Amino acid sequence: MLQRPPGAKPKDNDTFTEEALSHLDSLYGVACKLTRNPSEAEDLVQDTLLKAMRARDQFKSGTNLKAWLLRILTNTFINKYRRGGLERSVLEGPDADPLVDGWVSAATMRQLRDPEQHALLPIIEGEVRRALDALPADFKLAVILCDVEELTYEEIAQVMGCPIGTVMSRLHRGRKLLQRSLYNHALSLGIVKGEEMAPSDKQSDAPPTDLAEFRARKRGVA
Amino acid sequence: MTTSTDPCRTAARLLAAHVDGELDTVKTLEVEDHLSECETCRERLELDRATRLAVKKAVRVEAPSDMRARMLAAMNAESAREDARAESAQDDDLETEISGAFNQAEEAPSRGVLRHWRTMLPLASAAALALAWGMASNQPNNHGSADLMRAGFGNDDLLRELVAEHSRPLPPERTRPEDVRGLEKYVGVPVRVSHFDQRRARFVGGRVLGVQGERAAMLQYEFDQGGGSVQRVSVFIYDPRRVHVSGPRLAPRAVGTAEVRVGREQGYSVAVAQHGGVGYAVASDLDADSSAQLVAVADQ
Repeated sequence: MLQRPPGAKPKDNDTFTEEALSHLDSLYGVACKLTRNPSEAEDLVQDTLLKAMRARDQFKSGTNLKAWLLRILTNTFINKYRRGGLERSVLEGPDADPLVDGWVSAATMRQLRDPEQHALLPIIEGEVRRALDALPADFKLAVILCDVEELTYEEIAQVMGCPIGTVMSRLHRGRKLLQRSLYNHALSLGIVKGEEMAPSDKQSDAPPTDLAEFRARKRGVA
Repeated sequence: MTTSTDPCRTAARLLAAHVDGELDTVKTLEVEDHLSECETCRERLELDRATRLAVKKAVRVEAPSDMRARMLAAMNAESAREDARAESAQDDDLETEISGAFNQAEEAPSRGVLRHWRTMLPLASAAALALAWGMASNQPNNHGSADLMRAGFGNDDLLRELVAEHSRPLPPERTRPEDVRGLEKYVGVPVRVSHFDQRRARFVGGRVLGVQGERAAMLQYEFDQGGGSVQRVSVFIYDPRRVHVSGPRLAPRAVGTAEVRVGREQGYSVAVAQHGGVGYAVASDLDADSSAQLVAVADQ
């Protein structure tokens, strides 16, 4: 390769490859949560990286490369595995009640995040992992992009291709579902006292798909 | 218990954005004002923070140590290919694919995806074996169960054969989980012991079977049902390009993100799925739902 064609940009390529690969853990982490399968996750990451390379001219330098890569990853996932887009939750709706957590007292919330027996914390953390897996895909993705990848709402909106308001609603719903699972689990272990939390009144007619599915999974196989 | 007063309601709408650092100064002051006088909202905030932290801890994964090298190889190959055709490059299809990828409604053409696998083929011998499997699964002529359905395989005989092997199992040839990997050379796809629910599942052993002129690995497990009762589960692992387990008796079903087909045969439940180009079939004493759940995670 003595003479490079004018279009080739070896140095840029190396830099881009280097920078893209510095986000490998993030890409793989999100891919694992989306596909729930390590080998599919790796395929998805590879598709993403190659697409990104071929489109690297479209990346605006100065913007968040990780967000851009995650956007390609999300769209690749949707196109490849979910022809119809991410599943929509029956719980999602414009009249989302921001106070679905009106159900527990301040004292209970304190016990949840800081149980008297600290030995119980790993159990609660394990429950978060299971509950997260049980979330509808678009809630899960919003929560992960925000809490783990620390993207801004605007970046999440770009990644997920939706308005910022929708991002906020998904985040809110996702987190409340997580906290509800957490609360019910803590309850069953006797960490907190109270009554089992069913989906809030407004949605009582909607089937509690997530929780039911989640419990069924817990009873069945891991 | 939704008798919260209006200030709480207003604050609750802003709390999450506050935790996420998305509020401007004015709103931040508003929220903090309210927080200073409302214990419930303070606890709400702390619980939100704790949940965030827990999610963070729960999700953090590291990519496998050798994955970076595989990605680098793939990207370098792509770059070399680009160099080679740089002068004649007519990349207008790429343009549409990537911009299309940002538009949810639009479908990216799959051509680009397939193309890079072909580019990668020469590298296969040098690359890790695991990568070669990934590629096999992405060969254009082998794209998931849809092709099998189209091919019209109504292979009830095979289904009966697998169930017969489950109901009257031959003794396992290998009983140590790590030895099972060696079956790969007979079957042509990676064979691993699945990580089912550790408290209940016990790996019994594995062996190679001849099925309709082809081969499959059969791994046997026992599931403790409590009270001394045990139910048996057989997992068959095969190359789905050679062995087609399908037919009208198997109804499609989605388990998580996996596409699974489930049915019953001679009193046993059967479930079939593909993961990463490897075929898995479960025949078990359990109910159909359980078999479906098992086959959905058989590669893990």
